[in-house]
Amino acid sequence: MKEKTLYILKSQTNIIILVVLVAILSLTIPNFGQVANFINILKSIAFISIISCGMTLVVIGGGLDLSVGSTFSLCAILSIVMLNRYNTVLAIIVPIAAGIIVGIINGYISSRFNLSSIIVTLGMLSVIGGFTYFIVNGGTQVGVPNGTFEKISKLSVFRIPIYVWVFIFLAILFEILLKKTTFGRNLVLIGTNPEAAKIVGINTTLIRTISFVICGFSVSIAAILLSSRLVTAAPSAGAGYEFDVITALVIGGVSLTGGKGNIYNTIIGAILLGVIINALQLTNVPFAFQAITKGLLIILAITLDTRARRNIEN
Amino acid sequence: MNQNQSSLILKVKEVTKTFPGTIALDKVNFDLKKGEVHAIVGENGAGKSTLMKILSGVYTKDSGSLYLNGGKVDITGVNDSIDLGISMIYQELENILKITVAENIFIGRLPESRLKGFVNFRKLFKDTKNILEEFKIGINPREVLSNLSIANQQFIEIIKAVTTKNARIIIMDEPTSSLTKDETGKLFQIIEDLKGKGISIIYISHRLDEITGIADRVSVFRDGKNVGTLDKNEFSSEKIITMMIGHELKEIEKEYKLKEKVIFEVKDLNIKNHINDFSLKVHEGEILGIAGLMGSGKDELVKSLFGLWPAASKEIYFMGKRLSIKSPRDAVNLGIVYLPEERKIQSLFLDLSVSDNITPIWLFHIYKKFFLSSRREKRLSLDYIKKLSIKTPSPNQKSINLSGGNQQKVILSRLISVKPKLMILNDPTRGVDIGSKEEIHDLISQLADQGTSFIVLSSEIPEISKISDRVIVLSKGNICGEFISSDVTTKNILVCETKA
Repeated sequence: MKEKTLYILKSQTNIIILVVLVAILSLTIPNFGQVANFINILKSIAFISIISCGMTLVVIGGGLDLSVGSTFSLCAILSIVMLNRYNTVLAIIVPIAAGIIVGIINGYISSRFNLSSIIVTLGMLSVIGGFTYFIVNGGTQVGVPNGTFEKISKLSVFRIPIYVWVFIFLAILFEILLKKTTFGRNLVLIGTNPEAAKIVGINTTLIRTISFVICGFSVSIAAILLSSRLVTAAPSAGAGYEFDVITALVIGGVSLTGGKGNIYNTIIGAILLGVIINALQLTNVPFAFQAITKGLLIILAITLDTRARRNIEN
Repeated sequence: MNQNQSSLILKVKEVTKTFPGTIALDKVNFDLKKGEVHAIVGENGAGKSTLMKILSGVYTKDSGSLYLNGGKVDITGVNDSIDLGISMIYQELENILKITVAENIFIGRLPESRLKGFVNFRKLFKDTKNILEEFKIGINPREVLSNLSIANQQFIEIIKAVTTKNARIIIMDEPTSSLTKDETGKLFQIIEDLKGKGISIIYISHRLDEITGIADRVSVFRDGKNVGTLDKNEFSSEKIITMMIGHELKEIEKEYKLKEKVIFEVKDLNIKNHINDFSLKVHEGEILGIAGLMGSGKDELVKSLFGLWPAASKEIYFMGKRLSIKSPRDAVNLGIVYLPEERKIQSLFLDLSVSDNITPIWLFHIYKKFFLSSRREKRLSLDYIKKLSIKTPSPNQKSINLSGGNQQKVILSRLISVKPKLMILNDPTRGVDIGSKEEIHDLISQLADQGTSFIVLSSEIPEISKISDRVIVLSKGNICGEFISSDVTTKNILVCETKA
């Protein structure tokens, strides 16, 4: 019994750290413990979390998508451009299509030719970034509100804004996809042992490509919601998002070597990241130190995770 | 000489090692004389690798003691073991593959030139050449290690152990598993040389004929115990096997008539540098063995049949229909399944459960639904765990925790679960204990009786001759012989492959 309790405690390190951290911060920082602040935290991480959910699928399949930041910028820009030239429907559909196309390119090239997705998506990061600047000639796009598009992000249920609900919805959807469907199983098999997955007869190219498409789709949803909230988009809107997303995954305990992890890990990671950043903001720590903290955090997380894994293996 | 022979270099006294739930070693005694080859045999899970890991510092013992040259020693880490002169040659080689042979042997103590910090390559290559000549190995010291055959890489590893690490005890774990007959002969010659230098060897192998040839003594392990040590004049394969499993191996009497129905046919198969104008027919319920030395092209051949290796030309007929197999997926969709030779690398999902390892092909071939059913997966797994008597506490156990034999049964369950028409098995009992090996052979002949056809490759000729109804022997990409029914004997195959 004691051993079992210990085992559960060990496997839930992240949530324990989160609870302890929230408890300490609530006691030490004024305003931290208020409901409004918690909703703030959820709001601040919602966009990153939506992307993280998609990224989780890619990473479990043994890949990594570094192009999420620039794909985000592209989708945000496309959304505002479509809004200004055409209408709300195209402002939603076109970015989604763009996200999916980017996913197809990333996934197909890396899995069909068996290339490192890190390099392929690093290349795409630059390609998409350049393409985005090309579309708008480098300028920030200021949208003209049309009475519908900007209202999307203002919707809320129980004081919680729509984009937080979208995040929750996608998290549940992807978790089901991952754990309860043959697609999810095949993705885990590919991430665990790609060669064996191929010999078993799994269409590794298709499954991997789908995971990148889902990631691209999540990015586009996040981008549309942000565009709707700001009614403006800069070609650098998503710069650095890949870092925050990967940090959330690593802190949450999703293994970057593939096969291991779930959406739940990712969410805990994202919340943990949000809580820490929020605490730094509430205590007026300058932005520079926030960046330093985030960097140190990802290094610390991967160190602890790797050490823990080695301990288990021995 | 007698004096020399009898002096003990290593003594293992009542060593015990437990893991959660199992006693891996139970008060094991073992000793090693100077300059002897002491073989250890036993089914997987008998405790031999645990003992070797304790000697090489990977594990620490729970209790008992170790004596080296009469003095009590403690091994608490890999470095301790190396300092004491114990070197383990692993099945998976630890060499750094992208550097030259010479650098590899002298790694960590490369000769310096007059300019401090620079390597004196001339001296390095000259010294290496001398060492290689001493062991009568014709390898260029400047060759990059990854270009060498596995056998030669292994020889370099051994030489490195005795020169750089000054090893006095060398542990070889299944050293011949990927060597040809000639290479094995070469290895034995090196082992003799080492013996002459007073170096002792612990030799782990599943191949009994090899052991009876090379070993001075054999210790048999069973269930974490050393059940007996035999001297050279006492041992025979039958005796060792009896000690290992407690019952005699049964022989399958074969009487085979070719069935008329052809399931699978290949014509005009050409694989660049490997196979020339090959054709083959597989009949319903037939077990077709393909034999050949390393380099005969048999591996490339079966990989190509399964769509894992590109063929320059290939005509395939399956159940009478002309088809193409361009990828494993094409093959699996036809009802052809493949068991690769490297279990851990090519077939197991080590971190996943037994159940997850059994169901992958079944999921998309028979189940075919979008949403999983954990109930049906569990039922299927339990079914096969029972049918193939897989030893696992539950279907949720991680497959990495199973013994080699049970892992292989998991993979076979995976393949059988889709009721394949043709099973291509590449070394189906590699690294598998004798008990499981028997069970796997029985399973194959049972399935063949029910109409499943087989193409079987094996690193052991006796295995091929034992289970096959018909054998095709390959040599340098060409068929050099074919045997049916009672002509399928180890001797016939061996003579055929070696004379060509």
